[in-house]
Amino acid sequence: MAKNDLQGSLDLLILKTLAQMGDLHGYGIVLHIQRASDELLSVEEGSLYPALHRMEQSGWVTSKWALTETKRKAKYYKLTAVGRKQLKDAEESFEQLVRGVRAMLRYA
Amino acid sequence: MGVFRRVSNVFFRAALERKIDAELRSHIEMRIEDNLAAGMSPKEARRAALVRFGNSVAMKERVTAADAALNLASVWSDVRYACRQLRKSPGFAVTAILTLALGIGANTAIFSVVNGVLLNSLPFAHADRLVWIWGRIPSGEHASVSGPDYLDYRAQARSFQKLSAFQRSGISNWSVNGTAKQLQGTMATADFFDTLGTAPMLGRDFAGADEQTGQPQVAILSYHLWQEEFGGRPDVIGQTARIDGDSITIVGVMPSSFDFPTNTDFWYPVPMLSKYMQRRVSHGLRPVGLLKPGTSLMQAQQEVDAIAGRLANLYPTEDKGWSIALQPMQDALVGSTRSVLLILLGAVGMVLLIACVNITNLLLARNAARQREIAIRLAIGAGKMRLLQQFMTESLVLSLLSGLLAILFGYLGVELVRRFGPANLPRLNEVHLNLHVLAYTAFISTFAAIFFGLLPAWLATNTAPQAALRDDGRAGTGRNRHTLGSVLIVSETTLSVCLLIAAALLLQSLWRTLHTSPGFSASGVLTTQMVLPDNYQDSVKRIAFEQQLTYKVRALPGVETVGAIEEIPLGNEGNDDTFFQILGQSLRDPSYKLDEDYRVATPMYFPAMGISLLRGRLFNDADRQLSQPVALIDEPFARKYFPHSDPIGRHLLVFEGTRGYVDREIIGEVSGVRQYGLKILPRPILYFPYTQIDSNGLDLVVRSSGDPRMLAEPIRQIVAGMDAQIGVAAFQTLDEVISESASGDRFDAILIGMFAGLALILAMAGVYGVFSYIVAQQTRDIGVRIALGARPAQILRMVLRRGIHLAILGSALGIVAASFVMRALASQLYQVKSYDPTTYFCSTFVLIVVALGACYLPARRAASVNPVDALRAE
Repeated sequence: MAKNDLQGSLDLLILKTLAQMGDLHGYGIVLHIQRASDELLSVEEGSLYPALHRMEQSGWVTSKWALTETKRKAKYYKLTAVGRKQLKDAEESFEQLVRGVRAMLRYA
Repeated sequence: MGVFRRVSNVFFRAALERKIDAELRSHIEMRIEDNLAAGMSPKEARRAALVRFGNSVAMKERVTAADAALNLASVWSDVRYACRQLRKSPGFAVTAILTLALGIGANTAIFSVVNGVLLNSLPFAHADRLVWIWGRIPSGEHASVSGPDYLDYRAQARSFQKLSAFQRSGISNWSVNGTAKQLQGTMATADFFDTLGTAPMLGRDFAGADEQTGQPQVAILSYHLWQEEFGGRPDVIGQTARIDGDSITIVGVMPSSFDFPTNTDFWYPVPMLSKYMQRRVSHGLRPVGLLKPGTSLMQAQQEVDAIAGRLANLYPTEDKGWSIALQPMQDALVGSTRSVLLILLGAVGMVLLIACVNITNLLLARNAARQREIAIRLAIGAGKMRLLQQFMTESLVLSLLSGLLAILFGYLGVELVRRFGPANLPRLNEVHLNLHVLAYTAFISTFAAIFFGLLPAWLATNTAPQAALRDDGRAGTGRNRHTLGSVLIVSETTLSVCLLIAAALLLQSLWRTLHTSPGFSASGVLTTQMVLPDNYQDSVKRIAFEQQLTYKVRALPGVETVGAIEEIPLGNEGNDDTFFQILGQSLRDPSYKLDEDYRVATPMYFPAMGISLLRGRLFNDADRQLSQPVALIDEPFARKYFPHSDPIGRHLLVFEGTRGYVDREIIGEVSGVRQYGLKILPRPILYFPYTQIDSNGLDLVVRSSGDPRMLAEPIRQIVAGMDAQIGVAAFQTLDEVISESASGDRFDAILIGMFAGLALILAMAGVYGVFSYIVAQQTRDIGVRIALGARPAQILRMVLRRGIHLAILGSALGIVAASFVMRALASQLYQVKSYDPTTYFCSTFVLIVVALGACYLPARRAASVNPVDALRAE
């Protein structure tokens, strides 16, 4: 993801990923965002984990250790009800932002 | 949940970090697997996975930070880190902690005094509604209030819930079971204790009926008198004692917390029917009122002003021009000490600032040595705020440790002040280290940490890492450091000069006070106070007693002269209501009664005191009870009333109470004495012979050729042998009387002197520290200079010149600051101007010499640098 990423969009991407894919570990989230965005967006691990841990502290996600398909131990994150609400808010404000920017760009 | 986890994370940080590690590791391994699957070589696959993580340490730190409570956790680890750092450099730790503890401790002690004396409310219920009431005489000066006036105010004023009054009755002879003792009694109106909100702990309070006598019948004891005289037995109630020969019944005991007016041994009711209390011109009572809730001081003042107006109309001869003035009790009792205490607080604050500046300097030197460590941490991604937090934690740990030690120092300081504090400092017994004081100590410790720690911490964390790493840690940062060092030295010298000047001014003032001629010669003179009981009202008996006593004391070995007076000089408080007219001069307005004092003295009083006769003659044996009434005047009296004529042979009409006006001839003029204190100019006095006027006060003045203190016991025995009812109050030499009267000045001067000494030592250490550091930093430069041919003497001069420049700059600033600050001191100074140039010059000179001394050692070290060693060391 570009350095000048829009404030808060990382949270939105993570929450959306968890909403779409169900429980997922950090690496899975990175892969999903990359794939779902047609390789346009790439999340840096350096931003992902602090964000995940912050969201866990805020109660948006919970985590538990489980085995992957390849029998590797990994930490899976799961969206909570608070997280779902947060996602809804974030989506709305992002839509607003996009509409606003688009209107701005179209202004002759 | 979140909160719980955050808190638990604080305590299980190690476990938390293990978990984060595991999570990140699993991520990396999954990435490696995928990379391998995509066809990379194992080495490549691993590298590609790791690169995406960047700095793993920094990242882990940030993840942990997200697990919140991070601040708490890091504070704790910072505290442990700080303690480790301090343990690693014990020399630094001990120096810094001791320096700070001295500074904070001194502040703690002085604040205890300020807190106990000025800030705490008085130990009375409703202290905020208590008012002190001064009688106001036509000339505007403070005085006392007469019995009838007081009763009128009490009956008419509606602003007060209670309006009581008291009068210290001086030393009384108190005897139980035949042994006499001299005690301090206080007359009090019936509602006195009630006004102050304290009831007797044993027995009963005074009742209204107790006032309605001509002679006190009952007394209430102070707690300590009860303990000392009656062993704390409850059956003391109902016992009788004799005060000045009259028997009274003990009806109560006050609790130990009650000590007002200070040092009272017993209280007895004001005998409102006595002759003295019935006279409207006998001003002796000091009223104390309790305002009604919601009544302001101003409303009450307006009301009593109206009453004063009515009284002046009713009794024009006695009350014209008289009124009373209200003042909050706290102001009245401690107001005079406020400026002195605030000056002390300011001075001790300066000492702390100097201590802080020294610590700043130590920290700067230490951080310079840690520059590389800091640079590395910054380079690998430590946040600046994080490092700043760590440095400030170190400072806080340092100053809180000092604060703990300072509490001990403060405690010792408070004990010293309580033991040696001046007698005229009120409420000294209420000075304690309490919670308020400890809170203050904690506050100034924290403040000090910020003050001395912020600058070094900020500088340390704002160095570009590359510069610090490239640098060999010696040369590059020098310039900045030198400027800073100079600023530190200049600020220290500025503060020190201020304190030195203050101390020098006060010491000079004290010296001048002690060397002021009080109007008598003090050495070799013993004094004692006696009060004759009422059965000496018969003049013949009284005169015979004095003459016999004088005769017997005169016969003691070593005694040269024995005189007696009603009240010896310096400690005088009271005034009296004598009034006189000078025959042949225009009549004086009768309302100006308090201008002059009169004293009753024996003929030999004057030679015994060393008071010289300027013209005419002294009293002699020919001045008897029934011979021509005579009077002596003193020099201030003559200057005031006979500026251009010879007073000898002139006549005065003196109002002498029951005897009416008495025609007295002025027979001589003596030199003036300072009866109210060393710093107060002699006021006019009229002396009357002991044989011609009633007086129950008898202060002996005994001049001897040997040690006057040796006479105390023989005199006590003589008095006891003559009349067991008469007790003798503490013997004092006149030197002690003088010394005691200057105790407040001495206390101020000694304390400020100590602070200035401390400041000087700290400044010396500071200058030494800064220069040692600068010289150590410049070893290479100096080595090069010497290698290029500079002579050691030149190097020495170079360093010293730098020192002297800074000291002069600091002193100059100090002088400017002092010229403003010392104005606050002006009211405390006696015969010294607050801008006395000599004092300023000498203080500055002392400081510059000390500063030079402090940089001499580092300068010597610089001059003896071996160029080969210095250059090889790099």
